[in-house]
Amino acid sequence: MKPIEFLHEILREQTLSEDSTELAALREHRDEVEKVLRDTFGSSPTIRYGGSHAKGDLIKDSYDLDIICYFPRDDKDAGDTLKAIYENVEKALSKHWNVECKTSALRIRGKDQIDFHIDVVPGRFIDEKTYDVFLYRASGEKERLRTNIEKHIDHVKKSGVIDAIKLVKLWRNRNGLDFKTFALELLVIKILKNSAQDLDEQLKTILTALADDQNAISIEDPANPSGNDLSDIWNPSIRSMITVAAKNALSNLQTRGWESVLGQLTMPEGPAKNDALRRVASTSTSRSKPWCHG
Amino acid sequence: MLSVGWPVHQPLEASRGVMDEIHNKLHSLVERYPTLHIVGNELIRGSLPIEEAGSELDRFSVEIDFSPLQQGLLPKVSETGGRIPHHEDRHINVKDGTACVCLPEDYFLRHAGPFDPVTFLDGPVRDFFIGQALVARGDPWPYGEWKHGDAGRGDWLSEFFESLSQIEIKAYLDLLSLKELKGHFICPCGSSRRIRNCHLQFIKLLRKMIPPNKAEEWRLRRR
Repeated sequence: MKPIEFLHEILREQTLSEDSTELAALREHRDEVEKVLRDTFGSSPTIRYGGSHAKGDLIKDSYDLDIICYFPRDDKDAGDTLKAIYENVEKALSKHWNVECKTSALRIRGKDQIDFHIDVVPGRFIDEKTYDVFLYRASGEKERLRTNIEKHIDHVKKSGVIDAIKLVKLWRNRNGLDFKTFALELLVIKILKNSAQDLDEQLKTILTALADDQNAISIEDPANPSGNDLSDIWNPSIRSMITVAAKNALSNLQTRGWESVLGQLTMPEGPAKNDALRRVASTSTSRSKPWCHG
Repeated sequence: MLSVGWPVHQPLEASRGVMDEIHNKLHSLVERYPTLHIVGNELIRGSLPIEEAGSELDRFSVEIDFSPLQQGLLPKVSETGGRIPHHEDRHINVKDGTACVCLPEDYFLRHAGPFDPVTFLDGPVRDFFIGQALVARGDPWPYGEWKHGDAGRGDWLSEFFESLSQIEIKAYLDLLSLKELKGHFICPCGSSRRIRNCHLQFIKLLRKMIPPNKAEEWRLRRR
């Protein structure tokens, strides 16, 4: 299989259809979360959906739904400050699920820590005319961030490089790179600006740029280009980690192909896969039994 | 079942230079598994595929912390993708989300000599995730499972002694009943190698389970 065919095949594998079990579960959890938000805060907040599904860069390995929960500017019921809003939303959600507090979002997990793939993003509208909001920031220098989710969605949707973004997300996930999706999307769009390359060349261009010339790449929030400092999500430590990973990827690509960078094509779910797993298990020479500290 | 009483995380003495040696070996590991990469000196992060004949069957996001080796403990393995429920029946410690891929005593018995990260990953870590893939699809654990906590340890100890000949049992009890363990002693496994070059970690763990007074008691009872 030619490299370009492999990349398109892996993209096909990473597509989640609307009737997939993953998206059905996501919708079910989304409705539960939305009900808790409505039961707690009434009709006051505007609740909308963002994340990879809205942007069109969803992949099976990384499908997130952002439930944005924005309160009117003059509504103080959910809290007087952005911090209070963030904490009150967290408190409401924690009664039902495990909640991981991220910089501006709240990640929802089941009581057994199973990931629901849902982030709740609390915020407050800046005015009544636009969709600009302030979000609370639990870390970093500034305590608030001005942003606009519609602009983010548009920026990605209209980029023309969605397939490349999907594959870079896959590379990030499979290599366990702690690198925010938002920064990744902005980087890919910037690196591939006006690119007329095919997907194979696009990916090589991105990896080469990340491996060689990162200091020359700056990213800006399309919702607030001069106002939002993204240095904490594109800092020297992250750049250094990405450089090493990109160099390794290019080296592996040269000798072992995209399969070594992104993984092999996957066998579809079903009895044949279960049989294959049993065969693989039977060939193990160590046959270790799991234990538990208790 | 033999009764054992041993605090799980009681550290053994620190091994000097262990981490330098491990760090060098981690490069072989990431060479073998290209979607794993080294973070700092002691951590591996990325994803572990389960493959058959060039086809991927499953893949788990993992993080492996090798620093516990400094204290004679096995590396800490975590599944980071939020796929496996944190439940003892899935062999995930609820407290810290780490995976109990195997019984440390069993691992160090099977693998004498210096710790090798590739052997650890190819063996119990891979077995564990193959097991998780099968259990998630409704199968039982492919090689069985140990009971939780000390009950599992006791079962393992019984199986271990049952697998030994009378002469081997004597050799182990003679060694375990000594108040002090010296690296130049001959390993009771029958390899004729010195303990420090053979089952050092295993013997250390065994001595925690069967302290010298208990080993002496068993030794005398056998006469």
